[in-house]
Amino acid sequence: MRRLRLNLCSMHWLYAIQETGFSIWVRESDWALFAALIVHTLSMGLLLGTAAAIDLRVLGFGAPAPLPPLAIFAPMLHGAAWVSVVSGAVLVAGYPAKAALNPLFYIKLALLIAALVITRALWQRGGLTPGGPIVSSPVQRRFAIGSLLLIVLALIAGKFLAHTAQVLLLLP
Amino acid sequence: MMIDPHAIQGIARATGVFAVMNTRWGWPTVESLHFIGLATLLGTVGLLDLRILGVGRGVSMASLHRLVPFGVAAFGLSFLTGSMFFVTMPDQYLFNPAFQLKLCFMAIAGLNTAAFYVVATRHIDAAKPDDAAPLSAKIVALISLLCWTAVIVLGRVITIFRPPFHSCPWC
Repeated sequence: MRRLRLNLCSMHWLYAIQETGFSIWVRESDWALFAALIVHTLSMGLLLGTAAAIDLRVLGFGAPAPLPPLAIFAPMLHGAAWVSVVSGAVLVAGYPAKAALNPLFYIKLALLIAALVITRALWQRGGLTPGGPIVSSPVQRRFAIGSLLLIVLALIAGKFLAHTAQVLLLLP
Repeated sequence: MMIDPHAIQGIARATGVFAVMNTRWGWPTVESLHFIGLATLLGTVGLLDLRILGVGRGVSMASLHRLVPFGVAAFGLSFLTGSMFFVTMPDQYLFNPAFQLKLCFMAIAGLNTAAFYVVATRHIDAAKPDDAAPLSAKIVALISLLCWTAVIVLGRVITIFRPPFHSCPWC
């Protein structure tokens, strides 16, 4: 009974978001949803692709060479992360029920947050800063494996979202 | 010369790709691998391009150049998975202007990569971490970045032009 009340309450909120002017504009505009989708794809690609490439490098793939002070690129990746969040929020605003009623959406979010936390730890505490160590330590390699695994799972969860959605819009 | 979509799909049926892609999770799984490849390509080649263009001064261009083999492998993965989409539903792609443009940008990016190894790689590998790249390398990096961005964007745009709702203006 409590769960049913909770579900009805969340449906009410989702319906309210779905009927806001912004949500309707995102759905009905010729370009808004599509532009958000393209920006989201590019920013996620840059963010996760760069993090994955660095993980592979830390794990020792590629020609032997000192680990570059890649933390210099951190501000750019922070920017890409924020662009992903904003564009993702626009996509969710357009079809709130489609995302919120799909358990995979929460799994994707959890995986992404965990991947970004581990990547940040690898960069800050793992020594990928100017003057850091030139070969990866066991700790760095453990962080890199965790980060890589979470990134791949987050990307897979993101791609499966569209194929597992059960609800597109809520009826009044 | 007219390309026959049925003949292309025949390849997919004969090789078992059609059957795999039409299972419950076949298409999204291949789609995931395709995007993992594209993201890795952007994260490796894109990072080197940005450094050549002056972003992240202090990171040696040679060390980023060593990430490029991952980008090449990632391109291979994306090409293989992209071919699986194409042979499974050739009519959705053959006459789709976004797909045709995507192939054009991939070809330009390929030629540009060859140009990179002719005009820029020697300077890049010899440069110190704080050095600026020569103009020729910057031009190649800019073209590379624009081409791969266009490839990803056009990959998304393909869904707009899915036949029969839209037709190709020049086919």
